[in-house]
Amino acid sequence: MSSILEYKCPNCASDIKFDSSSQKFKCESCDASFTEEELNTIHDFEQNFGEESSFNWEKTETNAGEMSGMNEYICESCAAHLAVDETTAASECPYCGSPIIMKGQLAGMNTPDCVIPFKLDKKAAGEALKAFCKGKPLLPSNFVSDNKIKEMKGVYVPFWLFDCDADANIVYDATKVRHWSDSNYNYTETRHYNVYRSGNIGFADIPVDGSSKMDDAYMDGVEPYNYRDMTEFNPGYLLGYMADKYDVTAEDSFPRAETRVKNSTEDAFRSTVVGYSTVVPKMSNIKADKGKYKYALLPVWMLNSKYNGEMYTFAVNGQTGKVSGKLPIDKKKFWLYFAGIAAAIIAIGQFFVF
Amino acid sequence: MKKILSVFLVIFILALFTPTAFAQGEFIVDDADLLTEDMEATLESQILSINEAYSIDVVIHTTMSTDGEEIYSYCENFYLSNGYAQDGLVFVINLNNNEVGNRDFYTYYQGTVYDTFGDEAYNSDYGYVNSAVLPYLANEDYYMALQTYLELTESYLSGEITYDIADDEGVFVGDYYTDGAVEYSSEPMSPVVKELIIIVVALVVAFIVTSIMKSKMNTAVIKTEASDYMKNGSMKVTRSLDVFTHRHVTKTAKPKNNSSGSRSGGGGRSGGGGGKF
Repeated sequence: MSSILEYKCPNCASDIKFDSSSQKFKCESCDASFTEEELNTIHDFEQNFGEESSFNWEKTETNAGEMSGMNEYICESCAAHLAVDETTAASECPYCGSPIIMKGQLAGMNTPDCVIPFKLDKKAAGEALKAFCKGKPLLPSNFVSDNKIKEMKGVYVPFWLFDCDADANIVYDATKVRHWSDSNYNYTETRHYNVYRSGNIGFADIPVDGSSKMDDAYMDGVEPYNYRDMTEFNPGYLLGYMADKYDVTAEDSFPRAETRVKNSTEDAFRSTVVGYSTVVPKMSNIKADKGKYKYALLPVWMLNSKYNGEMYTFAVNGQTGKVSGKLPIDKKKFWLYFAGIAAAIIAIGQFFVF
Repeated sequence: MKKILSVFLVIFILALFTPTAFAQGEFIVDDADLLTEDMEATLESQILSINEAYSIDVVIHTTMSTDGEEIYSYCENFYLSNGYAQDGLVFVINLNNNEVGNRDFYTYYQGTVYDTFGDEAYNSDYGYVNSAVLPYLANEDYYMALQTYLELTESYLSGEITYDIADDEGVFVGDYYTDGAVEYSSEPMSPVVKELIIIVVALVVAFIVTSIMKSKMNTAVIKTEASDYMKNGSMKVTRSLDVFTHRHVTKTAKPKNNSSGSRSGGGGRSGGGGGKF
C-alpha cells in the first residue's frame, strides 16, 4: 500500500491519495480515480515507456559463398550492377532503359538464401500490364503496345526478408463523443481515456528492397509475394533473366523493416480497442529481440516507356502479376473529361432549377 | 377479493380511455368569455377529433390579462401547470384588458408537436397559421379565428399542407414577435445566381471526378505497414486496461431567429410563437 501512495496521477502527475468513501485512489488535482490494480498496471506500463523501442536482427545462416559462373553488366547511366548468366545476352538496363555493357566475370555477389522463381512469362506479365491500363480513361492511346511489351525485362530484385516476434506495450489516446441539445444550446461531450495494451505479435518475411536502383515505392507496390513458392536458391533459376546485385545492406534496411513492424503492431492492437470515437497511439514500446533476416531474390518484370520525353517505369510482380507504376496522363483527355463532366452537370442542372 | 380486483380492472380500463387532460371541458378555457356555449361545443368537437387522431392535447385558452407575465412564459406555465399531455399545444389569446394593439396571441407546443413543427414553427409553419388567424382576431371574430386555427393546425399535423417561405410573400402581416429580425427570402433567386451556382457545382464535381481518375494512375506507393506479413493468429493481448481520464463538454448557442424563440419546457422538446393584434 505504501508504494502506491508514492504514485503520481497518470493523467496530470499530481499527488494521488486514497479516498476511503470510494475506496479508490483519487487525484486531488484532476479528480481522476483509480483502483490499486489499475495503478499497478499503469505503473508497469510506464516503466516500459522509459525505454526506446528496440530491435535486434541476426542473419539466418544459410548460403555464405559468392555466386560464380555469370557475367556482370554495368549500366553507364544508373550504375546498376546486374548478374546475367553466360548464355544470355543483355543489352538494356531494366531500371532505366539505358544500354548496359559487360564488365566481365561476376564477382562480389553473395549467393542469396532463397528465391521465388518467375511464375509469369513475358506474355502473361504483358497481359497483366494491359489489364492494369484498362479502365484508365486518362491514359494516352496505345501507350502500352505489344511492341513495348516485348521490351519487358525479367529481373530478380534483391530483397531482405525480416522475421520477428514483437513484444508490444502501447498506450492509445481514445475518446468517446456524445452530442445532445436543448432548446438553446448544442452540447458536445468528449470523454478521454488512456487505453493500455500489452501483448505480442509475429511477422514473417517482411520484404525490404535491397537495390538502390529500384524505387522502393515500385517494389512496395508489387507486394505481396506468396512465400509458398519460395525455395532455396539455385543458380538455374536465373537462366534467361537478370539478377540485381544488392547495394543496400541489411543494416541499412533495418529502419524500414522496423517502421513497418511498429506501425502494423500499433494498428493490430488498435483493433482490440473498440467502442471509441477516436483511437490514436500515444506512446508505444515495441521490442523484438530475436529478429532474423535473410537475403532473397524476388521476380519482377520491368518495363520502361517514354512519353512526351519522360520515362515511365512499370514493375509487374513476376509471381502474382500485380502491377505498380505511374501512368502518364493525356492532358487533352484530362481536359476533355473535365469539360464533359462539367457540361453534363450544367445541362442536368437546368432541368432541376427551371 | 374478486370484486376488488374487478373494480380495479374497471378503473384501469377507464383510465386507459380517458383523455389525458384531467377533464374534457379543460381543452377550452375561455376565461375572457369570448365564446358562446354553442361555439365552445363546436370547437371542442374539432379539438377532440384532433386530439384523438394525433394523441396530443390541443388546448385553447383566452384570458383578459397575463398579470404582467410575458406571453410566452404565461403560455408555457399554463400548459405545464394544468396537467396536459407531454405531447400537445396551447393557443392563448390575451386581450390584455382590451388594450387594442397590445393584445397577444401565442402558441406554445411541445413533444411530438415540436417534432412536427420544429424550432422554426413560430416563424414558418406556425407563422403562417398565425397570419391566417390574425385578420379574424383583428376583427374580434374570435370564433372564426379559432376555427381557422384548428383547421390549419390539423392540416399541418397531417402533412396535408406544408409551408414554403419563398412562395409566400405578403402573408406575414401584423406586429409579430419575429419583429423583422428574420429576413424572409420572398424574392425568387435570380436566374444568373442559379446559373452561377450550377456552374460552380459542376466545376467542383468535375474536379473531384478527374482527381479520382488521376489518383488511379499511380500505384507505386511506399508502404509503411506490414499487415500482409503478420503471422495468422500470432497476436496475443496479455494485458489490457481502459482508464477514463477526464471529460470535456463544449456548449454552443443555437442560432436564434427572433426574440420569441423556442424555450425549454420541463426539459423536453418545446417551442412557441405568436404575435400582437
